[in-house]
Amino acid sequence: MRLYLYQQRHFLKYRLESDQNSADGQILLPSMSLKKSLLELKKYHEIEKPEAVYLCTQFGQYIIEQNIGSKPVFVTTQGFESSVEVHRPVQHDTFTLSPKRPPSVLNSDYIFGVDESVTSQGEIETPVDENQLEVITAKLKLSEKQNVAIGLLNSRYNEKNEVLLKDYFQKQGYRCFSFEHSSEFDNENARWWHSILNAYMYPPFEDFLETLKEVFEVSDEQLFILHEDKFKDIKQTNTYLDSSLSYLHLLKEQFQKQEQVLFLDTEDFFILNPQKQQSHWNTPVAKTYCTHPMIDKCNIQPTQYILQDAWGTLNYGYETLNYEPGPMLMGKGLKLSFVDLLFYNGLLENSYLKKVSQIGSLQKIDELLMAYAKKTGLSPKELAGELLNLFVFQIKKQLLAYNNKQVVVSGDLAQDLLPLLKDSIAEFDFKYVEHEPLSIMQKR
Amino acid sequence: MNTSFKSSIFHKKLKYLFSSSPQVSLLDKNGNCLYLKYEKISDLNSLTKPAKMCQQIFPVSLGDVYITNDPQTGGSLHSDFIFITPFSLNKKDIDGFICLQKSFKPKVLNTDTSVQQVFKVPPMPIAQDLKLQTEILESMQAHPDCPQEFLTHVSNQVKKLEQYLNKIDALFEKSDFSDSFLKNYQQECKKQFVACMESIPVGEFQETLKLSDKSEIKLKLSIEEDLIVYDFNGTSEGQKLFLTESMAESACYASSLALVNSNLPVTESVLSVSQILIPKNSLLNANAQQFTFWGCTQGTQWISNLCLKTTNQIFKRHKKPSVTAVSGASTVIELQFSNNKHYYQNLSSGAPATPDNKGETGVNIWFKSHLDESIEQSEQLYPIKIKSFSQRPNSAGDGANTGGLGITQVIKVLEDAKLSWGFLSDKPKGADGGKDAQNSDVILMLPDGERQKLDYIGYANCPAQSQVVIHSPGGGGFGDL
Repeated sequence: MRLYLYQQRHFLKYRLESDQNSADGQILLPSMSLKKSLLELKKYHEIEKPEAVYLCTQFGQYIIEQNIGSKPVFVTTQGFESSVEVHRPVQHDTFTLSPKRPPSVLNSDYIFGVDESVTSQGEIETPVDENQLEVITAKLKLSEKQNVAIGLLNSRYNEKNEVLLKDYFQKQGYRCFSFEHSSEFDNENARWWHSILNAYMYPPFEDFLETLKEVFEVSDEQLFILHEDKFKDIKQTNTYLDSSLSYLHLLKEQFQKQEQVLFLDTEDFFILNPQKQQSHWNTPVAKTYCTHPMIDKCNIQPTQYILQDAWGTLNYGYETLNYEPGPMLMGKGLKLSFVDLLFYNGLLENSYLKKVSQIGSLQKIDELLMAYAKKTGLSPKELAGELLNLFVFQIKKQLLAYNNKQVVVSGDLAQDLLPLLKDSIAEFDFKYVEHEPLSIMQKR
Repeated sequence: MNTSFKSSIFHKKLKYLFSSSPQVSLLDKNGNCLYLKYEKISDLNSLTKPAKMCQQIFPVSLGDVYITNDPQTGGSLHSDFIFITPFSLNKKDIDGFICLQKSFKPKVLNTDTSVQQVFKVPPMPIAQDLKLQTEILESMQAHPDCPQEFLTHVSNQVKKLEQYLNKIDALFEKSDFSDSFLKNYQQECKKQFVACMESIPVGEFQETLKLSDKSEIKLKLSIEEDLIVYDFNGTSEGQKLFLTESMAESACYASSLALVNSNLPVTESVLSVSQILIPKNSLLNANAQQFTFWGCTQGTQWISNLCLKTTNQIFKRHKKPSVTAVSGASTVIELQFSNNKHYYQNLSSGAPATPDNKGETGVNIWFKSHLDESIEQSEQLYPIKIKSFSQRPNSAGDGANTGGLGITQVIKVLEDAKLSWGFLSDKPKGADGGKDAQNSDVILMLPDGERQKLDYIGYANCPAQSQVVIHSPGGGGFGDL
């Protein structure tokens, strides 16, 4: 028996495949602990020691978004200790007296500068003197830090100093992370963030993999993780950042002949261009390198928060909700989001979200819309309709950037949104294709 | 549907439409601003005024594209080019204008540089039926100070404008830009903006700012329930620092927007809440012969800070806490090498502390850039070695809330260069008991060990192996410790 797991940030799709039969399913992860969810899955399907578990996961993305990683040590070139933080962009697009950067994943007490220098021609001006590293190690011994991210200036032209540092800290028993891709990546900050985020997500990611191994009783050699576009057993894998967007590689594989795919899923709305690659990933913390098929994120996301705006009326806000406590339709959340509008308009009939919706939530959504409808001079249904029109507007705006009028629509919410898109955007020919990540995984 | 909701939806549509452009505006057929997205203070006028100027000068037709970088016609730096084209929803009547700004790397021109040498483009047509007039553009490109690959960039901007024209055509109805709706939209924006001013006390205060070149700026600020008047009468003529009237206005608008701090759009009616009186022949009303580079980069930030500092005094009279400590301004340097290579650095200050927040390190509240800065790329492109780039210790003002730290950058120059620099000489003030921050400093360390602490604006020869140490200011602290 083989087990295929397609794990989004809050949902898990799975497929069990044996010579005799196969079974598919989906679970909502925040409803219980991950271990408990997996144990129930195991019990329900009577899974016994599968011969292999294949995993495509967005858990790395989840760790960054939820800020649940472990702040690592960062070792860099002396004189540039605060460079990575200072180069992070601020969040505001209007003049404000208190601009803020997103929360950091580094602790300034654990950023260390090393006296070394490499020129932009790759010549080593100042080699690393190991004596100075002893001071750093002495400080680290007083802490419980285990993960060290390393990023030196100009290491893309000559990595010798960086390799030396890595070897030294590894010998001291630390787990080290440095950027090991080709030298075409030419922004040191994006490179350094790659090492830092890898170190940051390592401990919870390892815990997660341990849980999987324990629950399903598999070894390192039996657990395969999709890393960029290749499955690797976890013995071969020691960093996880590049697995965070591997779901996009699966999407590309399913839709490789298309020019653009409008992907409308429970956690993300974007247009995928399978023909193009992009090397940058704008994480909520900082911009880093992570090569993946090109996507153009929609302005309105499935859990886009809908709230009172500067006009005193209801409109889409800047933030998105996550699925814990989740949108109002799930019964616990008090904040209205886009998927609640869909639920209210009966547009979640084919989605898994319908299954996790709670009785009584429809009325709560209606009451909230009613309160604002009075202010707008509309009925609650009309208000919801106007907000849906705005969603259609921004989809159409994005599609107009492409020459091809044939648009494939896929994802968990696509089937329900298709009639709305067809009715409202006559210029494009929409075709629904089921999103089949598990089948693609299985084919591999 | 009531006007508030209609306006909110209209604003959101414009926001989504222009989400991929960092500096852009949409104006109605009379040149009134409906939507504006900016990165720095001077954008507030440079993305609106040139379009009005074009309407006055030219018989504007659909398909025309105009360009300008002239500070005297509402532009800002000579490196900021504005591209303007009209749009129509019935392919007949002009319904409005789209303005895009392309910012090239600025080039510092020394104060004694003759203005004739500047690459200045007054408003002029560069395309008809969206087809580029390449002869004109090629002659522009022949100018020694024309930005590199100018023609390619212009062509890209015109393509972008064409894409926007197609999108507007496909996404909007004629009625979206009807006179009656736009009138209501403007009124609604102003109404909501004025409502956000409710917590700001009314009053008047006069402040004088003495510049180190002996010139002075006088500001009488009056805050009323629905109006903020910035009266600069009494401001002297300039010596070294000059702003155009448009730049000075932008600085006041920026202050009002930061003070009110709402997510409302920047529209003509919102800007009209700020009334600005600028005397002729003052340093805030530079003529075409006067040099406005430092006025645009430093002066605008200084005026915006002055406006907020004066606002604090009005709050004080009402026994209310100040709104903010004072922000530092950017510290700008340029290294001009042979073969026309010039390294430009605009080093951010620390943000000021406010009653509720500490200031962020290395964040200038008046300037942001969508570009990624890379030390390695700079070292590849220019004969320099960046020795450090770090937060500047002890540069922020102490207080119950401390200001943000400034930045220190040390650059080793590997070939002979000419150094130009500019910064503001005064310390960013603390507020309500908070301490002042450290001000900017630029130090030139010559190869023979001589250390020159540089004055606030100037230029100097910088022999190979010299080091330039740039300290940007911190932000002022807020409240007693």
